[in-house]
Amino acid sequence: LNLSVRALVAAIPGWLAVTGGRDLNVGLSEEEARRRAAVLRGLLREGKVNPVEVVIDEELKDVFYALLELITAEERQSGTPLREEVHAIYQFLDGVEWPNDDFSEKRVLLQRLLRVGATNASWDCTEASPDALWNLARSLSEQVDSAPSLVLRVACEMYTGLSEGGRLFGQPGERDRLLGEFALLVGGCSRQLGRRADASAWLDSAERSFRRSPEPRPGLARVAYGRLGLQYEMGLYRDVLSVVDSLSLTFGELGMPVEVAKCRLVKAMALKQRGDLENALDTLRPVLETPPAEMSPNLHARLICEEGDIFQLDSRPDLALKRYSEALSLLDRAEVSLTRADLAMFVGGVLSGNGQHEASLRCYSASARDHETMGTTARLAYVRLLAADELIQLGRPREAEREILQALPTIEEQKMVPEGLLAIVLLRESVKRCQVDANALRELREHLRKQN
Amino acid sequence: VSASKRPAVASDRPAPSVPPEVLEEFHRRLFMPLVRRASFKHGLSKEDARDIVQETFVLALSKLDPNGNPQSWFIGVVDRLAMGFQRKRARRALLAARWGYGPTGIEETELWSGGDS
Repeated sequence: LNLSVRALVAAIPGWLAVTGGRDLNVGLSEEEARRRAAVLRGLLREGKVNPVEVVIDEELKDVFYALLELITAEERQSGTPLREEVHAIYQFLDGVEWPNDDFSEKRVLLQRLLRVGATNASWDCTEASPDALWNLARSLSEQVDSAPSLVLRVACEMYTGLSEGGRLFGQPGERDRLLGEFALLVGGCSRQLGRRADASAWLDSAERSFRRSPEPRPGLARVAYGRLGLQYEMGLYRDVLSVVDSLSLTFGELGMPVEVAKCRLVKAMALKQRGDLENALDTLRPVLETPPAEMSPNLHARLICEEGDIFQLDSRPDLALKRYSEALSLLDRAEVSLTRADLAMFVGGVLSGNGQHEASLRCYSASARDHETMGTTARLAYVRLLAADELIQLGRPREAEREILQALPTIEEQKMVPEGLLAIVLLRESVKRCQVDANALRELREHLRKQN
Repeated sequence: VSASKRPAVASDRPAPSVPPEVLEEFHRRLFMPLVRRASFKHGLSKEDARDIVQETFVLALSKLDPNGNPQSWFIGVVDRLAMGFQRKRARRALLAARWGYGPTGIEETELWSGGDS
């Protein structure tokens, strides 16, 4: 029938009327799925199945999930690298046609496989086909927000492998386009992880690769967007605002609406940092009115989150909390992501402003846990300072000192303006004297807020 | 790796207004992916996952925003209900262990539920 999801949603009353109290088919039992997963694994090892010949049904989907569980558990228990096997399964699943995948199950399975394969050893791209590498690049780009360290490592390996490979590869210019994609991914992840010099160098590499390819404009525009993000993080808001509109126009001409929305987001964030809250809201509004189905839930949540943050800065905490809760409902709550970590931080800010320091501390702790998992150390350090401030408010100075001492080494690695460096020195001295200087803490936090 | 099929939906009570092929598609496109999510992601049995997904559809009747993103909404609600279910199960296990009549093994997970940073 190939109905739309909305049409299926309209059938919910009928579904409930028919299925109430009935024994529904829920697919294979756990045992049966595991048994068949072991059979499939054997067939894959022997190279006896071709993805093109596979017709996927509900039971085979259960088997794929069970296979993933099987190899994840095995790797965890034995510690033996399963790189080749995971790679083979990845390529097999990637080649299987999965029609009407409304809940992106294939993508989720591929992402998890990628994580299993990346935990122990590197990926080999010398024998991979261009299609497989494009799929891998797409899969990696979907994980930049949730697993930047992993994406950085895999993309870096792919870039190195691909640039060293001498054989003929794909269509003319395809190697350069792929090199550009992987370099762009490494640049984006380096930025997320606070390694700005690396990010800048990788963006340069991406630009060089895209320039060598036959149709460079879309790639070069995305490199420019990467540089825009970098400028924002370095607090160069005036520079951001001077180029963002023309970049947005370029994306519009190239038919890349998601990138147009991202440009608006960065513009709104830059305006917000300059205190121009009214224009920041006006900039966000058109994208917030875009039908959510046209962008990823994560980007939609990010946009709503920013609107909430603007409301918070505009002393409208109730509206801010409403937006945050709306954004949270869009996120996959079990998945760690930068958006979720930032959301927890924003909510912590509102609660702190309301004097709810315990609850605020819980939010900052949740945000810090996510940043720790993702390896986003610069942001983690900033959240630690926020948590330290709450701990001081709660009369727990020793714990505050611990948070500060854990944060300072990372902060010192960042390029700070002289006032920021002075705040670091003051704070370190005060911690040494076992009496945290709350003013120095706030001052440093403010410098970091502008940088993060 | 395939198996014999049985009808997705009990067919002895026809739906008042929804044709059987729509119900089949509903089962394949909405019901089963959510059952798999609750089962494999949250470690629930297929039967518990089925109950949670059915509860999600009941909630959808009154809570689902027709202008929103239904997939996101379904995923969010299934995750929340599955986590709530696990918490209840963990509490029951705790009580059982405390009073000496069942297995132990507590694992509570809740978004922003506190802990050390």
